[in-house]
Amino acid sequence: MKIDIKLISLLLILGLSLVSCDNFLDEDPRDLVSPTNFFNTPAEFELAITGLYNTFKGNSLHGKVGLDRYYENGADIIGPNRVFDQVEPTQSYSLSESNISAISQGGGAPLTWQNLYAIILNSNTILAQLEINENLSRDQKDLFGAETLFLRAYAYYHLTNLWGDVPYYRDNLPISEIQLLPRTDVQQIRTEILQDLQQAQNVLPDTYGADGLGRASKWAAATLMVKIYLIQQQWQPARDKALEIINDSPHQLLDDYAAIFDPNNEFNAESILEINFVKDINQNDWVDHFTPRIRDEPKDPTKRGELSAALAARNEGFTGYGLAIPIPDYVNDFPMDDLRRASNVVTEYLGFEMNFPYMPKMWNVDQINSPRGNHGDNKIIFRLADVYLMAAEAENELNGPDNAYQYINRVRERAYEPDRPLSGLTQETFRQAIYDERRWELGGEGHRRLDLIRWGILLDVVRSTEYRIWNPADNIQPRHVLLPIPPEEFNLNPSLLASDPTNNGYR
Amino acid sequence: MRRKTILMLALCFLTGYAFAQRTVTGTVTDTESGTHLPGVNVIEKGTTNGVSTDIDGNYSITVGSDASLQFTYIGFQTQEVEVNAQTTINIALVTDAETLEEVVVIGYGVQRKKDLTGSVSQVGGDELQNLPAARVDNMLQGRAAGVQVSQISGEPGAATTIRIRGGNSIQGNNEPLWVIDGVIVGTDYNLSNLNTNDIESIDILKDAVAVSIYGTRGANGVILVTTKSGAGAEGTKVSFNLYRGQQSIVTQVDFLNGQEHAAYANEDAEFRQSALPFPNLNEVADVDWIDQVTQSAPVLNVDASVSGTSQNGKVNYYISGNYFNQDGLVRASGIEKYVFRANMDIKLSELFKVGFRANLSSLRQENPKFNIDGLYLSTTPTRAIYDADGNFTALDPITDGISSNFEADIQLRQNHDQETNLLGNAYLEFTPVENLIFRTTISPEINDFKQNVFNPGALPNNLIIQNGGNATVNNSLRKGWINENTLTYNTDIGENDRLTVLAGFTLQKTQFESSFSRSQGLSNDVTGFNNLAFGADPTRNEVGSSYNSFQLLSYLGRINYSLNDRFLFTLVGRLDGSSRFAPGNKYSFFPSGAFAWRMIEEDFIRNLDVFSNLKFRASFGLSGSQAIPSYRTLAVLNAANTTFGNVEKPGVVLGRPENPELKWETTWQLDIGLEMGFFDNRLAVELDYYQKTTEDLLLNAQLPRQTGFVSKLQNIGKIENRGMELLINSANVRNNDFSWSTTLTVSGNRNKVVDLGGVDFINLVVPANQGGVGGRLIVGESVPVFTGVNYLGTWKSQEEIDAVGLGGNHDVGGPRFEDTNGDGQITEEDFIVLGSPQPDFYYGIGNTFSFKNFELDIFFQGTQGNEVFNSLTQTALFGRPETTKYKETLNRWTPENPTSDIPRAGTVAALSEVYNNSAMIEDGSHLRLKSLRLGYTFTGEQLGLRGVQGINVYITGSNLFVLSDFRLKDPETSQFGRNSDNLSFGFSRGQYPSSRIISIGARVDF
Repeated sequence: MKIDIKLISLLLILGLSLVSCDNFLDEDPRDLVSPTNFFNTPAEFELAITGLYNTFKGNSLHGKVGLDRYYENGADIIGPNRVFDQVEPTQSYSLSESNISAISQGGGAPLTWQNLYAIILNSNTILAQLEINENLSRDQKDLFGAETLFLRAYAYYHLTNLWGDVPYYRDNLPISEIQLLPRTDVQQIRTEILQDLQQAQNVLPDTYGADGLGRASKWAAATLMVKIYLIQQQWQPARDKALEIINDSPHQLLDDYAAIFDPNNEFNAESILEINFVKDINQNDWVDHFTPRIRDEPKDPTKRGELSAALAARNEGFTGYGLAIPIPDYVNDFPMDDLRRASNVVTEYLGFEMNFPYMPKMWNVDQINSPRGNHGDNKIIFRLADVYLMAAEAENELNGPDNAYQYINRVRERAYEPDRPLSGLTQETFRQAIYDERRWELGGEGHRRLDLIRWGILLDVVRSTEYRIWNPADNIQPRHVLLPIPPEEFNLNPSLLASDPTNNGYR
Repeated sequence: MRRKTILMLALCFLTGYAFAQRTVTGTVTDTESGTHLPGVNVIEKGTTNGVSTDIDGNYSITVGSDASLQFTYIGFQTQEVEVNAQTTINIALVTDAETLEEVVVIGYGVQRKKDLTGSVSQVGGDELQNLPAARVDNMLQGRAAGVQVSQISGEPGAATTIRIRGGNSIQGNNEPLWVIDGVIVGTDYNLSNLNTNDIESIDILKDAVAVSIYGTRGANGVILVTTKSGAGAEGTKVSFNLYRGQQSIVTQVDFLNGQEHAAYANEDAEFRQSALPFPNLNEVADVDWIDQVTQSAPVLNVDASVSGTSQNGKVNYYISGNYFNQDGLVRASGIEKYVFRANMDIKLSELFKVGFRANLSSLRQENPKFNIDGLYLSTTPTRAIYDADGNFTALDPITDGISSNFEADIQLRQNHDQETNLLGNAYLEFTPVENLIFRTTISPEINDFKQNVFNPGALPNNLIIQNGGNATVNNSLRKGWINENTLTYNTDIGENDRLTVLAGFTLQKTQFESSFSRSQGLSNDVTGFNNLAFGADPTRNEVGSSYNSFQLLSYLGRINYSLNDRFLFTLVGRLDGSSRFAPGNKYSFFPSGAFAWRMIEEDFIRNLDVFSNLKFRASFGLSGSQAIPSYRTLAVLNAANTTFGNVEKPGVVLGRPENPELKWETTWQLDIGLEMGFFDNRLAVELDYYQKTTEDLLLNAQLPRQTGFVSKLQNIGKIENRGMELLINSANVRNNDFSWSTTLTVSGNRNKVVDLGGVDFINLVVPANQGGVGGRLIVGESVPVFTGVNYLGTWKSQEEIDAVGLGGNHDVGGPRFEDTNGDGQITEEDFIVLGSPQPDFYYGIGNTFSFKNFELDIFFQGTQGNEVFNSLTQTALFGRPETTKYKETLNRWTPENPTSDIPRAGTVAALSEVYNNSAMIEDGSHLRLKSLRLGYTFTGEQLGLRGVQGINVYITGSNLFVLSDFRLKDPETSQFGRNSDNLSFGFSRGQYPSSRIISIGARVDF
């Protein structure tokens, strides 16, 4: 009996020793890439930087209406054609801590906040890995670093525009430290990202080949610098940087305003930074917001069938939402003889009188190449006309209108036939001219509300503007120049309320 | 019978030629009731010669002249009679005073019920017999105390949600561990792969001493399924069973019809100064969409089995086959399956025994083409099925937006799963010396899965966006094996003491590989998923694959000591190592211990003359849960492809931060139980109290989004469950012709969040669109609670609105919510606790009546005191004209009906204005007639069929009615499906409804 027990024990021990326990419990991850064994080759850095661009195409930023809910709604150009919940908080200025998550499309402000920080976190990781990498050449490191610096600065640019002071980190910190960071003064952030952008401009290429269209060039970095200088009212560097772009960059104003927005003319000479969308692969649906819906049209509803047939004959359709259309004042104020009007305001289409006005440069009614929910129309972020107008504005602020006319008139050349150059203005009336010119030139493109805010006239303008839906004039408050930090953020990180217990005036 | 006799004769011919033979016949009855006992084993002592009594208790056996007969029957004392010269021996068996000879399956062994120190529920035998259930988990509902089973979907083949003694974990897994014939298959094994008629018994391990032998996987309880074997049977038994049923919808929800809805939508548009969607109310469609997409659906089951023991008793076998086909209540859904099983045990010699269990199944699950709640949310009766040209409508008539046409989905879409599963187990037992058994098993599981999906270009929404069709094929293969090696040593120490020692070592590895391909812009609608190469646009086609594996390595041990047959002691421990955790956290030890006192053995109890059984038991110990997926401790990069210059480029982004500190969730459990028997155990009562504390909860703790992430899995927090369980088994009447027995289970569980790692509450799910957080974990409250604001009815006047002075837009007739904190706005800070999905108690009541050859089973099941969060109410009562509306909105606020508390159409501009609120919380108490079965047995003799033992003809009804006040009728359905976590429990939006099934069937035994 004893022998048998020994035998069994032996068998058991034998069985046990067949497997080396330590090895047996090793994890064997085969389908995932861990950052710890990544960032070795140039191709791997390339992948990580491409990922940053993709995050910008997320719904909360440029993929859907995203950022433009804050940059266009609640200004004096765009609004919905009807009561619609996703537009309401920013358009009617009911904006509060409680409805900040409801702002859509794009998942609301918390997601905008998160994705911008995701870009920052990823950028910091890339920059830290570049620093310790021993396989890349100095030039490769500089180039990858420059592109990453631009994208991180672009993320902080939006964060500071929307929220002012925000948590700010540039190093590859552990999550446990990042989650405790309080808000940093917006001035410090802007100063430092200007330095990053200058470095990016120094290194980034002039242009990209066909397979890089949509990436940031040195001129994208320079344009972003001009924008930040203007916010800071640093007129001299703003003007100098704008002139650098005008004089040294390969970018040119197109002669035909409408051609800038032609879907068949993407990445044209005027475009400085453009987000690339492709039907079926990397599509957007913000275009639908500018496109009419057939149920609202035409003015005479009995002719709806006729209109549908006329559209169908051209492979077109009113299959959009009609949620981003020119507000009444924009239609009324837009000079009738301005050649840009046809691209910004249309009140008649194919001979049918429209019930609502629309902005055709942003819409796409082509049902073959740009069907509903599946648009490949690019989103232009920066273009040269904007730079000209910024040059004019900065020069006027610096030295008055004398030297500023040339820049604004350059933009007006294609707007009037015959030309109607501006002259004989005071610094103040020139300022007014800039306010108007930017409204006609850049309508709907995502600049307006920030322009009004940095000029300090947002409240005045909203209070004196006629809107189609709601009554923003009654609701707007001084606090509305910034968004509140989403409550869940300071619930999780109370230090966000340390420097400003009022949460930008919303508490 | 006849065949047996022939066999017996042949056997006698071969072996007993030289002996004088004699045939003895007789009838076996129950002394107490006089009932004839079928299936009693009658054995010629000292031989393998034996028969069993037929349905009327009759037997006939040919024996040698000096033989003695042994009569054995479970629950009765064995009797021996010397044959001598008798030819007729009628025997009345006496109930075993210690009738608890029942054997209960525990982990890695079996135990006599009277020796149990832990809390184990057994569901078996009669309760399971002839119960037309599609899945084994369906059979458990209400049958076992402390086991809450919820039928969360009526979809054929749908899994249930099971909570044993409440949920321990918050975001981790709360489903019990399933062990099938000793094979640990985890918590997510598709139970559709089993034939319910193969199941002999189900044992449910509940307390610490019972579950800790399963270590890291035992914390949520363990369900052990034992399939039938041929052991104990005499000769060959053939059984054939067939039933066919018809399913129908139990009750329909009341919604506005087409005209009523159109009027609502117009009122809404008018109020919002928008164009009227229905300028002409006479031209509005009126489609009863639920009626359109549902059907009266058939269910068919055929199963057959052969079982038996070889003449020499050394080989026993059970072989069965099953075909099951159930169409869904919702058209184009259903399940069809084939299951084969072979079980065999072979005693090779006194030293060696081998055997196997093998289950092979093939099933095809026709997946629903849409969700019913999606229909409620998006399709109103004003939506016509076809347009004037006879094409499917593509647009919603109210929003003019593209929205799915569910009739088109049913007719055109294809989506089904095909699954083949092999679950096996082979063992070798070696008994080198008496009382010492070495057992080694190898248990493979192979699961092959393929899902085919085809959305043709002809779908109305695809026609609009000109996307062409798309097709997807998903493939996966799961392969796993478990090797278990155990030593069991049994010894009697002295007269009445007994020691059992178990030691074991196990290894497990599971590997999962999958791939998927999707083809876009299919150039034809003919080949579908069968030829993805027809995708017109290769740049849009998608492919993917994944790999996942994990390993477990464990040592286990158990000591049972029985002192004087009175005091029982158990010590259990398991050391588990898991690959899922980072080095340093891989191993953990789970000990437990128990004590039981069989008080009935004490004279002072016996002398009371009250009890026929009395046992006290107590246990305490630790078990765990490793409810994290593989690789969760590692940081990962996710694919983030994008386009430059209109060409797609690969990219990556950080997917999640690394997390090496993750470890197991651990649960301490205390259990105190009392088992009582009265009137010779005709009344048996079992009462348990338990208390569980779970620590180191795996929680996806929110991170501030400034980290770029939303959350991170962490071990934080602590919750507590405690409760009572009561089981009563009663043989109310036991007469010759009539018997009536009752089984009652009642269970109540209370739980509470003790600690959340420093925060006061954690927000869980958002069940209603932009309604805010609907479920919260709050320290001190139960897990979880429903949250929202109080709904105060409608605003009755502008003066009222002005007086209250809330920010935002408010209209007379619009909804009014309570500003709890009085800060002038409604925010999540105003949210209060509105209810909890935890019932006060839940119960099952079964009654079995038999009268002569009739048998009637009625089984009720229900819950009391739980609330349901009905998130459909947000749209169906409050807002948005394009969603289905409750019939009660006919009585909505209008200038003519200014006292109504149902909001005026159009006053809700945004769903974000309709916070989760008290109007969405409903009473989820319900009583369900779960099953009713009426059977009649014809004996072979009655029918004059030789070779037939009996035919049982039955009619059954499942889910015949549900008594509930819930608007959506079935409070058990879940908005979030079978989520194993604790968070999504109790939210409903009117999912796939449970069907009423009425079946007729027959079972023939040969």
